[in-house]
Amino acid sequence: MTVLSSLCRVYRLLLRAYPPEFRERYADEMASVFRDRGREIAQSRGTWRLCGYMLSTGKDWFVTVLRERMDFMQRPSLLTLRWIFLFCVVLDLVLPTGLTITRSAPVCGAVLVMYGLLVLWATTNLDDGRRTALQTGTSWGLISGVILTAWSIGGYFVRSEGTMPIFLAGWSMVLIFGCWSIAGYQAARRTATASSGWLAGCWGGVVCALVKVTCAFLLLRTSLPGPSIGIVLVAAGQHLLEAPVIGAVLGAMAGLTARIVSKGHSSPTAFGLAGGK
Amino acid sequence: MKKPPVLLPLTPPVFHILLALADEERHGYGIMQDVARQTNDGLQLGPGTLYGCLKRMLAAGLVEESEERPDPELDDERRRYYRMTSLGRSTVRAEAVRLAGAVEAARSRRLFSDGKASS
Repeated sequence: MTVLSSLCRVYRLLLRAYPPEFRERYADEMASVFRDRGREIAQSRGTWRLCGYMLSTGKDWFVTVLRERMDFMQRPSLLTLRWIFLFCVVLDLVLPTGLTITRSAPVCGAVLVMYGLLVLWATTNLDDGRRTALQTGTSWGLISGVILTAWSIGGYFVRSEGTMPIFLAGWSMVLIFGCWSIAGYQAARRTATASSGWLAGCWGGVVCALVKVTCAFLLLRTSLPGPSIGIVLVAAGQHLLEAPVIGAVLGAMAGLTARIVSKGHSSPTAFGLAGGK
Repeated sequence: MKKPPVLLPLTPPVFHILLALADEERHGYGIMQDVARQTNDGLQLGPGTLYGCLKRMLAAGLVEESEERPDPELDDERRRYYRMTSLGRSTVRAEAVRLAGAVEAARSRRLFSDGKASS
């Protein structure tokens, strides 16, 4: 039975590939069924037959993991995140095509791929509270991304004729930072946990940077005057590294503020009702 | 709650799982064994297929989890038992009628050449 015990341990590990909700509900039963069936095979047909059993179970595992993962990603609550993930994949595939490779390009490409994988992980492995935080961060990140893009495009034209007005830069930053802070505040309120704030703010920064990078890349494909590909890639890396950090700090502060503001409130929408919207 | 025609045709695993639950409630491994018996080992459900189907069948209201737990001395009390709902029963009946119609159509076209199934 040592072989069977080892196979059970392997199967337990494989079960981790299923979506969290499916795993929490069925993993114990599946492991139990696997063990019972394996024991029956080992007793009736011999231990070596377990290899064939493991192979057929492996095939079953592969097909059903894909099915459950696809099922999980079909949920409306994950719709935005799924599109963001597709967007990342397209970006990662398209960006290195036909570009002048600068020294920063591989680093920026790696950062983009990393974010693509992060989104894939986030869309399938997080609990409801964290997914809510990401949803909120996505919404406000998209808004801040549009503001940042508008500022960058406007700034480019203005700079080409002189210096950029400081008030334009100042107000843009206020709006962008404001979006990330609101994301943190809202997420903290919706999930009733202050710690959701930093996640929403951080994610808002990521989405904002991705929107900006995509728009800059799209501009490269037009005949409009704009920055070179090298500058776009360097800016991509810079935005993707700094925006999440700033967003996380602002979101955390906003989350704490939400916590302080809601203290003493007993309404069902305030803190104290876990998972409340 | 969906009506049987909406759910038809059933996939072979779902059909055989419902058949397994037609006469008594069973746990996962019991369902797996009964499906293998029904099909002369022609359909071997893996744990992923079995519980993926059960998840969808629970959501569709075809089966439900039994609240009764077996005697700990006779069975593993961690096992969950499943039973068929009235919707599940009407659905499997409708699917059986549909399959019977398909078999009849095949028979009328003399597809059972060796005559074994034509009696």
